[in-house]
Parts: sequence; C-alpha cells; structure tokens
Amino acid sequence: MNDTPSTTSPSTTDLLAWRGLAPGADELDRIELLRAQAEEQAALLHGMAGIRYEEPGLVWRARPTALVDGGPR
Amino acid sequence: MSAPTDVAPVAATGSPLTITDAVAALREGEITATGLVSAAVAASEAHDEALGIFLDRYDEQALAAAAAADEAYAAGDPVPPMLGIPLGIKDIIVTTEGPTTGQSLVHDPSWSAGEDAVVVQRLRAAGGIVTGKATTMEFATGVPDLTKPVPVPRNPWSPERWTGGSSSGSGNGVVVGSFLGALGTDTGGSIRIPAAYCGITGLKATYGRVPKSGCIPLGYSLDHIGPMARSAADCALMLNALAGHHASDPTCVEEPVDDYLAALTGDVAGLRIGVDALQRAWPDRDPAVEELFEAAVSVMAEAGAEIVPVELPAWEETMAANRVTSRSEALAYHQPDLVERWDDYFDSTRQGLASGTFFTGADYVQAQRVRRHVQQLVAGLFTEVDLVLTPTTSLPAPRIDELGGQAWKFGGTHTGYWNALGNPALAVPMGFQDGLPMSLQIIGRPFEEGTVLRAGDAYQSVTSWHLATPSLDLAG
Repeated sequence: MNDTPSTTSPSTTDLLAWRGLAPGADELDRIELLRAQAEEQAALLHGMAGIRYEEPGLVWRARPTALVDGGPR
Repeated sequence: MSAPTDVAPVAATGSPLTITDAVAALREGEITATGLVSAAVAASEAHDEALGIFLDRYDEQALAAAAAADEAYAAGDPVPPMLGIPLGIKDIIVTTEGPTTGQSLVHDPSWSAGEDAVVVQRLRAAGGIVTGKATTMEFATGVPDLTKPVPVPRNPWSPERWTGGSSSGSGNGVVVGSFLGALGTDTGGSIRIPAAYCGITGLKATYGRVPKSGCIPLGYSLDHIGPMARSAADCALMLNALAGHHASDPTCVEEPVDDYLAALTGDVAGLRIGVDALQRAWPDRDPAVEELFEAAVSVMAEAGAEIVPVELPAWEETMAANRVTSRSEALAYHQPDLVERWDDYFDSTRQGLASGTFFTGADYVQAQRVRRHVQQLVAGLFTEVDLVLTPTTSLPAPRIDELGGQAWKFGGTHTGYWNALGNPALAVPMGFQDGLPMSLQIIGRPFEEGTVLRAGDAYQSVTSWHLATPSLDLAG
C-alpha cells in the first residue's frame, strides 16, 4: 500500500456530490470550465501582494473613513 | 394651452419622452396621466410578446392609479414629484399587485406576497405607477434558457440579440416606452449592462444607499437596487425617491441624502476626471469602441473638466473578488433548493451556482480582504480625481444564440469591479458600434451620486445618444 498522500485533485463530480449536487453528464464540460475559472480566481486573490495584514472590513455596514478621505484606517 | 391629450411615449419632437419631460407636461396640463399610462400600455401591447419585456402586467391597476393621479392634478393641490409616471419593476422585487417569481420555477411566489418592497413603497409615495413585473434572468443571474417556459428578453436594437441582464425587461421596456423608468438590481453589472446594451441610462448607487428589503438576494454584500431610465436626470429624480436609510435592511447606511436633481448643474467645469480605457481588460475589442470612448472623454474635456489619465488598481484581482463573493453568497442562499430541484433551475443558473462549491471559506475571506484593500487604494485615487470614466462594456450586445457557449466568460463587461468596492457608477449611452449601443461608465466617490449624475447630465446636455430610438413602430 502506498502511504504517500495523493496530490490528485478530487474530481469535479466528487466535489459536487460532496455537496449533494448531481449535474447531468452533458453539463460537466461547462462546469469543468467554471471550476478552472474558479481556481484561477482564487489563486489571483491568494497571490495578491500587499494584503498580508489586511482585515476583511465589513465596509458595507457603515461609511468607513478610508472611503471618504482616502486616509488610513 | 391646448387641451390635454393622450400621448405616445414619443414626444412630438420625435424624441422619446423622459420622466422629467413627462412630469413637466403633466404639471402644465399638456398631457394626462391616463394618456401617459394608456400609451405605455399600448407600447406593451405592441412589443411585449416579441421582446419579452414583462412577466406580469398590471394594466388595469395602472390605469386606475393614473385616473387617481389625474384627479389629484385637477384638484390643484401640491403633488408628489413623479405623480402619474409609469414604472416597471424587476421581478425579484416584491409588489402588492402580484407574485414575485424571480423568473424561476423554484422560487416560492408566496414569499412576501401582498407586500411592497421599501423601494416600491417609496416610488409610489413619489407618485410612480407600477405597470408590471419586468423580466430578469433567473434569480438575477445567468443567461436565457430557451427550454424554460418564460419570455426571452430581446434587444429592441436587434431582436436576435440579448438585452443583457439581469435587469433585462427593465432595459428594453424603457426603450419601447412600456414605462418611462424602471427598477433594476446590480450585483456585478445587472443595471449597467442592460442599460449599455439597450442604449439607456442606469445607476448603481453606493452600496447601502438604497434599501434592499423585499428583494430576492443574489450576493448580499454586492447587491444594489437602482434606477434605469432614459437620462441621468430621470435617474436623479428616481434616486431622490429611493435613497435613504431603512431599518429593514441591515446593510443600508444612515448617510444624509442629497437632492440629486439639484446637483445637476449642467456642467462639469472644475471637475477632475480620471480616465482608464481598460484596454488591458479586453485587448481584442473593436477599435471603434476606442474611438467612441475617446470622443466621450473629449466631450467632458470640452465641457470644462480636467482629464487625468489613471490606472485602476488591481483590476483582475478585484473582478475575481466580485466573482468569488457573488458565487459564494449566492450558493449560501440557493444550496438547499439546488440539491432538491437541480433540473428546475435554468441551466446557466444552476451551473453558475454550483461553481460556488469550488471556493473555500478561506477564498471567500480572502476576497473580502482584497475588497477592503482595493477600496483604500481607490479611495486614494479619488483624492486625485473627482470621477473616473471607463467604457461600461467593450463589446455590444451578444447574439442570443451564442450565449450558451460563452456567456460565462462574460468578457468585456467592466462593471463588477465597482460592486466589489461599492462606489456609485452610472452607465450612459456614448454612441453606436455596428448599429448597437455602446456605453460610458461614470464612477464617483462613495455617497457622491450627485457628482456622478451631474457629469452624466452634463454629457447628455450636449449629446443625444440617450434619446436615440430603434426603428420600431412605437405607436404600435
């Protein structure tokens, strides 16, 4: 038995089934494309420089000073 | 003064009637609300079936409201600012007249039945008349599914092409005169994209400026309700009614509301306007788009604005943050139904929603960190300029028969960046490419809708793209 952890990504079908979703076979190509786009988008976000100490401010709850005057928080 | 007469939605000048024109004519007794609403109903009779404007029409109720409006005008007492103006409401926003479906087989139409959303309450209080529920994309996302039993919204400029979405009927209904203004919603561009494709004006105000209670959510932290109409002045008039805190929406802010009509000075003198053509966002676009955009910028410069080249920061990351946030928040709302009723969802809706499963919790949080960071970068940029101009889209309206294969790229739309950040953004027509409308996007600082609308109105005071009409028999 090989104890080396697999580096293979779970299949799209398995990922969706994990959430109880079972698309038709004719939809998988489209969903694979969406998955590729999603992975690309997530990588962009995690690769962004300059946000090591940024917090996810709930800016939509109130008018943050930074949005008004451009100054620091 | 001649006796009041019935009027078509096209004024005697050949230009379409705007809300501000109609209000003036009503106040002067040149037209009646009954005539105005009758003309709107006639336009719907002529074009609704072919163009897919409505999911439900309330002709009788609208005509009854118009008769009451005429009585109020006749009484000579002070009247609300939009009394007698026919309006369309996107069918994810509840109204008392009938059910709200979200253009979906899945949504429970009894949800909030018999109620008005806060925005509808406010429009009625301002004198607006609800003519019906306008088509949307299912749950305000995706593209048409031709296999489902709902209207397919078509573009009045070229009916084989799409209106854009998701505020589709709100867009084409304004063009043909089924109503003079409409409510749309915007999570990644769903007001501004159909406004662009249909050749009208649409405003996404600052996040939190307009209460969203009574509206089916898509992306909680990205959703906006806003006006769509012929002109920036019409949007200002509607925003005067719509804006302001309401406790029913926890994301709605307690920020003073300006008089947006009063902000329309007719000029842009003294404003510093940043310009980003966003060629990097869609490098293969038609050079004609460049020319239209440059011409629009020149109009602003000639009107007295100082033009400043800028580059919007972290464009791709911010667009990605919009998509990660939207997909994650939408899946949170839809997941139970998606599991139980996959086949009842439209194909593009369910596939798009399902793609939310590919994001982790960390991805979602990272998107919020990116949003916060870029908000501050852009706030810094707005210390250098008062407004920013970009194209609203790099491409004109796509053909409906081409949507299924490529809609997910949705390339060439430059709107979601501002949903991620929350700034107000206005789409105004800036000309035509191959007979199809193209649009200029005007963005401002948070809560400075007045400046955004001022620039849009000044642009429209020296251009007439917003008054162009397709070659339809609007009188039916």
